[in-house]
Amino acid sequence: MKYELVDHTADICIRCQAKNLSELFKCAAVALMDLLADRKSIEATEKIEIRIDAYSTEQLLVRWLNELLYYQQTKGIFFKDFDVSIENGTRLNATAYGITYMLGNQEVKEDIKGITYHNLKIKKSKDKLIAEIVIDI
Amino acid sequence: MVEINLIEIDSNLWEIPKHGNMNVPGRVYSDRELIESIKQDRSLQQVVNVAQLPGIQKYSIAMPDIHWGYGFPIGGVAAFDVENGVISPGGVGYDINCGVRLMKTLLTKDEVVPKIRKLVDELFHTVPCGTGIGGRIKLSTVDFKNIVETGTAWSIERDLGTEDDLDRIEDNGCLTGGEIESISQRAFERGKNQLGTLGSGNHFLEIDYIDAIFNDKYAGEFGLFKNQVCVLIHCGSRGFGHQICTDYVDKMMSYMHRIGLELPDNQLACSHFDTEEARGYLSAFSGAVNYAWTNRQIIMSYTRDVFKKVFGISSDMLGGDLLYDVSHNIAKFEEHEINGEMKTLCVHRKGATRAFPKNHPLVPEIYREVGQPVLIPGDMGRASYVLVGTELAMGETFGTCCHGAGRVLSRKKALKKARGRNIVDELERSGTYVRAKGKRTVSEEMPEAYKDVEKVCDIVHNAGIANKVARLRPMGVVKG
Repeated sequence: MKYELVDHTADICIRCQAKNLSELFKCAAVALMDLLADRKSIEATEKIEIRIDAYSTEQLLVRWLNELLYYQQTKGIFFKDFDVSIENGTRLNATAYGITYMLGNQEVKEDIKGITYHNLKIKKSKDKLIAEIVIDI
Repeated sequence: MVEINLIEIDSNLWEIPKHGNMNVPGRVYSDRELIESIKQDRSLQQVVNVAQLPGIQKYSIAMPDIHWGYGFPIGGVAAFDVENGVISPGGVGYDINCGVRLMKTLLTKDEVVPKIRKLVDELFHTVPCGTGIGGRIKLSTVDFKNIVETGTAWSIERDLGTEDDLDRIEDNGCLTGGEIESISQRAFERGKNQLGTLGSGNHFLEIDYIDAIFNDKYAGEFGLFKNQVCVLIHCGSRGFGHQICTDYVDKMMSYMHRIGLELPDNQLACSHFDTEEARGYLSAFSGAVNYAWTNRQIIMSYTRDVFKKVFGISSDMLGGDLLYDVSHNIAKFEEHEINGEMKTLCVHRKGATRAFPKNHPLVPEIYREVGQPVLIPGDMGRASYVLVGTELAMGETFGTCCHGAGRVLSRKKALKKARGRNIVDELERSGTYVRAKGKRTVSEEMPEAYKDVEKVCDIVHNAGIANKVARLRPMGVVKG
């Protein structure tokens, strides 16, 4: 799995690629956390179990990322890694590994307002799944 | 990128003819030079997408500061019939009621220049700003309820402003209909520590001086004079509004799935007005609008205190009156003429500013003889503008004009352009002293990342949708 930042005039656009949906969702989460903090330096001592249902895979992806954002913004939890499993494209079960910082004690790189649906379509290209996610900052 | 067909209507206006699934044509306010830069990103396609929304009236409109956003373009305006139209949270934006206010002073440039560093440093330490930074006010449940329901009045009751301030805010600082029951617990969690904070990114507090007056009559009515020092405060509803938008975009995605409504961009997620989703959003959105006005009011109160402290003067000597507060991410129910008949429409302004003319009942009485002040912040190196609304705008743009300069460079490109340079030093050498929490923010927000606001304001002035009153030059900036 891999991601890159795609040029966008006002916001941030992440293009994620992976071999299956579970990895794609993990990739998007990793990209989000890399935007927020120095993820690799985090010592993950806690884990959170997350389960989400949605009408569509795109809605599931947005709900997933918004869930992680909620934990970061209100509880000061920064995540380092994730185990993700997607069922039928509309159910997510995940374990997110991270650590709680006192709010204000961890440098936050971006003030993310929300995860948008703009142009969000999970596409198959050759043997890969690709999604472009625009994030409002 | 698909090429969009554009027809030149006149030297400041272009039309995208109705085609495909568009319900109305598109209209873009721009001159020939700026239109070439507008064509470089996907913003015109977004104008076309918005034109496909149900119940849209007259045109999908774009201001000259238009640039690529999500769903709606930034600089987009769309009005919807309340019978068969829709409300779209993405058409307002995540930062509900992001807006700007201008505080006047009786101080002049010559009086402030010798103390500008001290003033900016003191403001930087007093006004909480930056990512992940909370404010000094911790809201109880009762406080939150009062702010959601009564808006800025909450801060006046706590001596963080005066009744005169309320007269100089759209809707007197309170949009009715806010109810806490429509707002998620998550929104309260995100917002409870953020009241009275500036945020980061393109939000700022800027000390300016007026270097040009374009219309003596309007300037006189607004209490503006040459070399006058003013303060611009630009911020919004913080995490509270962001979460409300997130919650309701999600609900409307589910609504659209249920009724089988498909749109060219899911970020245009919407619902018809007579639905639970729309009623819930409008109630929650009103709460967020009120939070943002209260936020700007508190920051202005802090600013007044800092000025008085640094200059050793009283409130009367400072004269820190609010000129006006405008919102540029909002949806309003307003009366507009459609085919000779007055109708109630829901006007979405996403990166666009209301610009109502003289005699309009919603313009404060103190300005009714001239029209509503319109505040257009530029970048931190060049200029900002005060304009006034016009009658022509009512007919052409639902009483709307631009909101700022508009980005031309992505943050990535701006960072690349700033490599090897010290933007803070460059700005100081050109006369603007900057204090910022993040060095990267300053680079991302460098003047070259933005269009020239003078050009943007000239276009709206020449198009007749707002008239220039005064130009402000930056002296000091606080950024998160």
